[in-house]
Amino acid sequence: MKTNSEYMLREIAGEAVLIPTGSASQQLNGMIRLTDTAAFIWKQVDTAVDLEEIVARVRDEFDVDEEIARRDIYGFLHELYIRDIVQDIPEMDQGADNL
Amino acid sequence: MEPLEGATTVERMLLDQARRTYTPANGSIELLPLCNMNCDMCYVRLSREEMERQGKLRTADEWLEIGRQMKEAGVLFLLLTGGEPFLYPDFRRLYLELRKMGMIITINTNGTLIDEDLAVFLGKYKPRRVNITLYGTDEETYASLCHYPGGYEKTLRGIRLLREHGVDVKVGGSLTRANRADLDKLLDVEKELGIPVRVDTYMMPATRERDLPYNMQSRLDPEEAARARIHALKREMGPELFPQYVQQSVYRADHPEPVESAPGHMSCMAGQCSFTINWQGEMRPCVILSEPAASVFDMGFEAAWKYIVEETHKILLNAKCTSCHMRHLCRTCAASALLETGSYGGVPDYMCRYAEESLRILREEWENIQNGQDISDR
Ligand code: SF4
Ligand code: SF4
Repeated sequence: MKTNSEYMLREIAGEAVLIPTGSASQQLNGMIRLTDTAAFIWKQVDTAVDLEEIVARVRDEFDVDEEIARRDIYGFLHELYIRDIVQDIPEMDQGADNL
Repeated sequence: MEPLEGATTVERMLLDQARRTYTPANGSIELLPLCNMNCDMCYVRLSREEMERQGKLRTADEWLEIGRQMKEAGVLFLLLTGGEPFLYPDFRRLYLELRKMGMIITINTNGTLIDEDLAVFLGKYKPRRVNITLYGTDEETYASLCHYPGGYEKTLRGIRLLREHGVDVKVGGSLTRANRADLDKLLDVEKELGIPVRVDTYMMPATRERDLPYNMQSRLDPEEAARARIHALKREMGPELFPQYVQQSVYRADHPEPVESAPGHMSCMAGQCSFTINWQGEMRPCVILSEPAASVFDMGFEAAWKYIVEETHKILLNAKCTSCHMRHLCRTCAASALLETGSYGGVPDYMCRYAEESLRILREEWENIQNGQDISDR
């Protein structure tokens, strides 16, 4: 999986924001504010093979129920995936219908 | 002055957070003092000869080094201004590289130099917004006030081109004696071009006019500035919001929150989460204040910012203003107090008169609203 390299995660005064650089501003002009968990998930994308690996890492890091973690991670990354902000998610490349 | 005009909720939240932590999240760089126009009231513009006597332009690479330091320090919103920023050699490279660092960029321009090619470029690599100053609503004003005949048409063309390429544009105008009759025409541009227009009616006194009586200065006198401001607000807010604004403003004046009357600190973002850097690299809390100042090229960005924060904190405003019941209608601030009275701690007579007149008109409006009268446009 990989994050679109035109998006940059920045931490400003303790707040995480996702900023479009390059021509990505044609899709999204502005920024996306991320919660701590969302920022953590974002940081895993480039090194994880699939969503299940991120679910496992999130559960190592945060005290959270497996089903809730899975639902939130799939939901969040699906939003980014359909906007091409995150690419090559195996679970979604096969067809997003079964989500 | 509002350093980040028209900020969204997320942007405001970030700035609030930045202010609490003294993070310089918002800044501006005045890239050069040169401009293709030459407006009478401009306090920045220098001719090429004048500029060369004072120093030379910093290169894009020098600014990019500062950019890297700014990124480290947490700069997020960056305004590129001048002079006319599109005259800066290497503007496009600098702009693209700063964006790559994750800066969200706004550009201030007079709009006259925007051609198809530049509009395509900005449409592809979108800034947060382009702010265009409109100096009048006809060629005569552009010729007499800005000494740039044909400038009006060129500005309108620039605005149209940007809109065609999906770039966010906001128009700002300021009202002076020279164009006082144009207020409604300026506000009409909003509908005609379908873009937001904000007209400022208060201007700080120009250096060379500071000691003249108000009616001999090029800005409006305080009462007229107040009337024009409220007239503009009424049009901007419309029949839904304006009555609420009137009611709240009058209520706040009649029921001021009890505050201790002690000299207050600056309440704007300047020197708390906002800074400006001029073309020579001098950092200051805001464009209007000439002090405190520190060179980013000599000291580095981080050290210059620390210095600005410390010095800004020492600035104290007048105790009378802290507890004034008209504070919400008044535009006084450190810069205004300094320029109007000569000291940060002064109470600017211009502003007291401006606030008093604002309150008088608002009370009148409130009475009309309560009597169910149609809010008449004055
Ligand atoms: S000191 Fe005054 S002019 Fe400067 S940023 Fe603050 S409010 Fe604006
Ligand atoms: S300048 Fe005058 S109106 Fe404004 S806050 Fe101070 S005392 Fe009040």
